[in-house]
Amino acid sequence: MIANRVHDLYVLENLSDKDTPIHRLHPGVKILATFVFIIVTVSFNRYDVLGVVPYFLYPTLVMSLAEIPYKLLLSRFLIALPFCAFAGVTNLLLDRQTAFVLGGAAVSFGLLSLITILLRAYLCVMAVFLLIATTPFTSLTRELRRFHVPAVFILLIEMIYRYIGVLVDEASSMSIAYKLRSVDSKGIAMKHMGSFVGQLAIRSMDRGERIYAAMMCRGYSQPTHGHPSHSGPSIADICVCAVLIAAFLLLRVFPVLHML
Amino acid sequence: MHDTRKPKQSVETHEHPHERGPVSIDINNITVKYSDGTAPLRDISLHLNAGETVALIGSNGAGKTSLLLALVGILLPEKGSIAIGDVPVDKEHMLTVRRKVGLVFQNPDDQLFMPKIYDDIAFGPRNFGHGEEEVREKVAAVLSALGISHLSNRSSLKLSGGEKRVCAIASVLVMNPRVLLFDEPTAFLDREAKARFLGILAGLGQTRIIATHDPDFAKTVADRVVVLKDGRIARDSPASEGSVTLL
Repeated sequence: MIANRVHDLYVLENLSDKDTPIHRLHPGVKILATFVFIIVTVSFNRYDVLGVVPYFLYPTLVMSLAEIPYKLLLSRFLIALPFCAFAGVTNLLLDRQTAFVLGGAAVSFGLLSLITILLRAYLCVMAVFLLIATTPFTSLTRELRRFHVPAVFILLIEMIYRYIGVLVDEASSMSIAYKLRSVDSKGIAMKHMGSFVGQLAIRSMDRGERIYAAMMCRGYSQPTHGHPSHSGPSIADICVCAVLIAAFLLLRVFPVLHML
Repeated sequence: MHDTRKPKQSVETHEHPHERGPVSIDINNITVKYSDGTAPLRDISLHLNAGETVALIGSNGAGKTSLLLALVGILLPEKGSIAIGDVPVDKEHMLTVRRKVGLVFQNPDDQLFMPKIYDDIAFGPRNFGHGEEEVREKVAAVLSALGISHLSNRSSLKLSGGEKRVCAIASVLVMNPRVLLFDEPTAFLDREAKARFLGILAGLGQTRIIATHDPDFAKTVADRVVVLKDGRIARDSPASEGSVTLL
């Protein structure tokens, strides 16, 4: 049911309540480490499968230390998988030149790039999921402000985060009302889809306006206003950050598996 | 006239610690118009003494919600003026007004939009620049005072109507407002939840305006009953005086 999806939306965020060494790290450290990890991961040559593999250590280690259920993250990655696979499959068809022969079978450059795209997508998506699952949303946006990310971007993130639940909630109520009055309960008929989506947009806007009014009544004004005071990272946090970034960069400069 | 603009930052945002008591409200001949020309409020004048409770009653579309929204500056009057104590409700003093006035919306779902109740209640104090430790203390205090500490880590999606209502009240009380506005507070409530709400209301010392379409409820909770009809005040009398109808 759509209603359950509203709760699912915030399952990752709810995991950020745990008290583990990863959760206790300063949010700025996690953001910076995730950012560097993603940059380094996507910087690899599109045929360099071996170079990317050691980076699997990072999400695996964080997941284990932060006690984040693997299946939960994997199920969410599967949503992004078709998009990545589509991009990779195109390479498979266009780039048919043989890279090497493995056990009598020719491995094309297209296949290598497909594998690399999937691996890199997995690593980047997992890194972001882990960041969300180990850091409360308010700490994330607060820290992004500290990094001088443009206020309008942060506002957009906050609004999407808040209103996505509203949209799904409205869709859920409308869907239930529709099903209760439809002859079969196989979902919304295509001929009604236009008015359903139109009504959903209007109702969501209306509801969004009321929520925004409620936010303003409680002092919400603009993205840079009144964010809570917070302490900076400790020496230990900075050390962890330095070690992580150094490890990412070293693995990039000295690809371990290539050397073996 | 929906004011979606940001309040100016230059205005004083922190009140003196001794300014904690209820304040008076002065509404001087205000008219509010929407951009399409319809006027939900016309020539409204009303004075509330500090600590007074007024019930605003009227049928659907009478202008009750519009008046409450005008009091917090969400709707700005085309003519006339509103003052909360000595602070005028205008763009220049918006943050001060919103610090002083708390509005509990008709539908608690409009007020509870964060993943957890704790974050919903902490939303206001965080916006007003309180440190995280202070926010934690304030939230814990209000949760405890309203007897809902067990809901702190719950999602509002999983709460009953009565629980949501109390959480919405908590999200306003945590800011320690000097004026409290309630829009149809008994909507969605069963008898038990309504009785609980009355108990909470009795323990509050702020100046209060309660919009309702229930005349009996109005007489129970208010010192004075103001009847709105077609955007105008049709009657203003003590709650003890005669029977109240929606006219």
